[in-house]
Amino acid sequence: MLRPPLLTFILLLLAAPFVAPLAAPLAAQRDARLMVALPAEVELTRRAPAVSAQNVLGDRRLEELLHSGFPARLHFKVELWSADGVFDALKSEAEWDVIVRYNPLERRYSAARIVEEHAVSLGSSTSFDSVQAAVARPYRPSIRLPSGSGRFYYIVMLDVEMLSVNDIDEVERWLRGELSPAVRGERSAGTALSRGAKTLVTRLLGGRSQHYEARTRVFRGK
Amino acid sequence: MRTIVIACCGLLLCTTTAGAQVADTTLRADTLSYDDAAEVAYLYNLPAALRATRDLTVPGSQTVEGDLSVLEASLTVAGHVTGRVVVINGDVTLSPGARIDGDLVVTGGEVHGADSASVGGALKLYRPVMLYRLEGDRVVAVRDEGRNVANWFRRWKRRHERSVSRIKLKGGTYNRVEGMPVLFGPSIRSNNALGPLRVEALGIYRSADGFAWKGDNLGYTANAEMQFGYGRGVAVGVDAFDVVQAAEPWQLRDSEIGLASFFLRRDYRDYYNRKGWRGYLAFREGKSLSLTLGYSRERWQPRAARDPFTLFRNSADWRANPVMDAGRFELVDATIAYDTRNNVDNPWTGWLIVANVEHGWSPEVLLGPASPAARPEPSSPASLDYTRGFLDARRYNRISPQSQLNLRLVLGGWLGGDALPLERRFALGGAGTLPGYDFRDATSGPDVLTCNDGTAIPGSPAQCERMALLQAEYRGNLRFHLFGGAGAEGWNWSFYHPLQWVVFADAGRGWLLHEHDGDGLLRGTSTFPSLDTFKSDIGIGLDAEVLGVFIAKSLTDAGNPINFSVRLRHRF
Repeated sequence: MLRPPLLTFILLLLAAPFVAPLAAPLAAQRDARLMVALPAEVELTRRAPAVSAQNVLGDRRLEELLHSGFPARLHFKVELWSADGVFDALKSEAEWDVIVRYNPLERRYSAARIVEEHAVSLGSSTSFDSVQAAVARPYRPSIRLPSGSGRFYYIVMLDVEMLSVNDIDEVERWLRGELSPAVRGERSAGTALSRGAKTLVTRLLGGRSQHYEARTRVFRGK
Repeated sequence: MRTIVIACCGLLLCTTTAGAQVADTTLRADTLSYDDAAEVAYLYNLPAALRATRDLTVPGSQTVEGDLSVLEASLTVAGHVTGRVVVINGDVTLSPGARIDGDLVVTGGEVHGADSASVGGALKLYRPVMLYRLEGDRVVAVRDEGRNVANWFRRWKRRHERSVSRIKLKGGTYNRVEGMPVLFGPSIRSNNALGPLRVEALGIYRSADGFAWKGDNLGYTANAEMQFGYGRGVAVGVDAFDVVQAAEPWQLRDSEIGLASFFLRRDYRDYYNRKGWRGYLAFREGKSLSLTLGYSRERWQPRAARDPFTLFRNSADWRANPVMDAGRFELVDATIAYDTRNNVDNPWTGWLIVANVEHGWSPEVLLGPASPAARPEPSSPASLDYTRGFLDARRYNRISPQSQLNLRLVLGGWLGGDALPLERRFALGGAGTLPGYDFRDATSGPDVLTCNDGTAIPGSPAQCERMALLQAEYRGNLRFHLFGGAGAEGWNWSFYHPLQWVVFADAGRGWLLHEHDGDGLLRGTSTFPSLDTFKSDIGIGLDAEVLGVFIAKSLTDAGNPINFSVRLRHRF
């Protein structure tokens, strides 16, 4: 017998393919894209793929938060997988961050790429579009194919978050019933509850903390 | 002869000096501070006889009367500049015989040929590119925010690892015995040369019975730990506690228990009171491997369910909290944790293994109610001396770029000595183990999920002495390419919404270590139960990484209805 919750579930299941794309534009405003491009065939073993994130700060809420002084963190992770065995194997990975900040005094945006302990300025500008363009410049991380032949593919993940709001942590604290956000942020428990609920919803809809993923085709290494 | 040699040397020296007059002060720096940049900008903005923003050459026949400034371009000097030369973000080439009477200041470039030219003033070369903005024709230096951002980000990433002293206020997991436990007290972390020292002492005040000030609502937990080494090292610590402890915390997450209790008045755990202290020694290899050895002396006491507020079904009764065994226990335990997952929240490959062995003993234990089958020879009070093991092993496997097959094996139970106390027994069934079966719901035939023989015991306690559970799930990404696809020049890209479909199957059962033979006598057994006695289910669901909805159907009990469950994060 179908019980009411089950009926709801089946409706959810049927509606998902239609609902999810409706939610997607929240995060995909202004055509946000994460892209990964393989090097030329002859350079596959010598060069890393080029990673580029375009318009990922284009969400108006992100832009408003950034303009209010909250730094944005773009956390990139590239994984190289081998597709030869029964199970795909993770061969190597590389991570880096891009931090974008707005200085209200100088009215300038600035961006920096941070790889391990090394930072490279990506530029500084009074124009939001210019700093977006700087962030979108392709970058080749230090990741290489292993020696020997095989079938491989790269997966690139990007998480965009505003650093003052670590969404998942806050939601989990809220779900555990902790009052820490209210205490730490000097806001009321009621506010913490409503923020937690709002964060959960926005996160589910691909909101303030956004996740992107892209991958290359499976290719053969030399 | 000697006079001639000295004269020749002197002439040679004079000739050399005249050909390449090295600047009095030479600075070649690999850094460019904001103050230096501001100084360069100031010099550039001073009135100049010649200004250029394109590559410029001063021929050998030319003399520039005054200063020369170049922006974002290269400069070649073969002639004579009577003043200062400032080049922002460009190279300078000095031809043999070139002459600059004033300073030569260069940022973001190189100076070639200085050895064969004459620079009357100081030569200052800053190799980093200078950041600036233009206000009309004026150059204004800009701080290198990139470096500042990097420094700030490093501090932000290490914010949880800094020395800190604070008053902590936090809530525990909402449940039917405590309501909301509120923890309050000082917390200190101090980093020193040996490693981090952590001290925390929190009082516990429970919300049940309207925050009444009474013994049941008060408790504490304190911890002091010194770790020798950062990341990897050896830690020594001691805990003191008077807390309400969950009996089987491995089945569902704290967040799930708290939500189900607070919203739906359904609490899927049993609890007892733990009061005492514990010392431990931990060997830690980063976040991937740890071994902890502990010794504790503690008193266990049953706790009754109370009536904390819930958002819905507030008039319904809570499930009783089973009365468990009571007594003073001494425990020694060893726990190994091994974690090679590529991502803790959303793993695609790797192992997570947690194994624990505990030996406990007590001279006098008041036994809680259990069914005759589960505890055939009750003589309370009794002495207990037992050994128990527990293993939770998970393997995550990627089988294609968009799908994965994950497996989990959970084993637990008696390893030696007397029968296990109720606090250490097992039960299966419910969203965390066999979602096709309701939590603590008697199955048809022998009860292999709670190991009850039909005796009515308030709260339906877990009574199995051993348990085995196998879970498997296949996950596939649901990808939406509304905004993605293959672009020109070989670009592949996509917008990804973290949604997966899941197909899963579970099988498991619990069992007792004795059984009635044909004559009705009890006899011990150590055989593994036949696989056809296991309970199993299958199900499907949608998982949005932080929230999943699932339906499951029992395979071994056709009469069981389809169950619906909501999980936070993945099933395991």
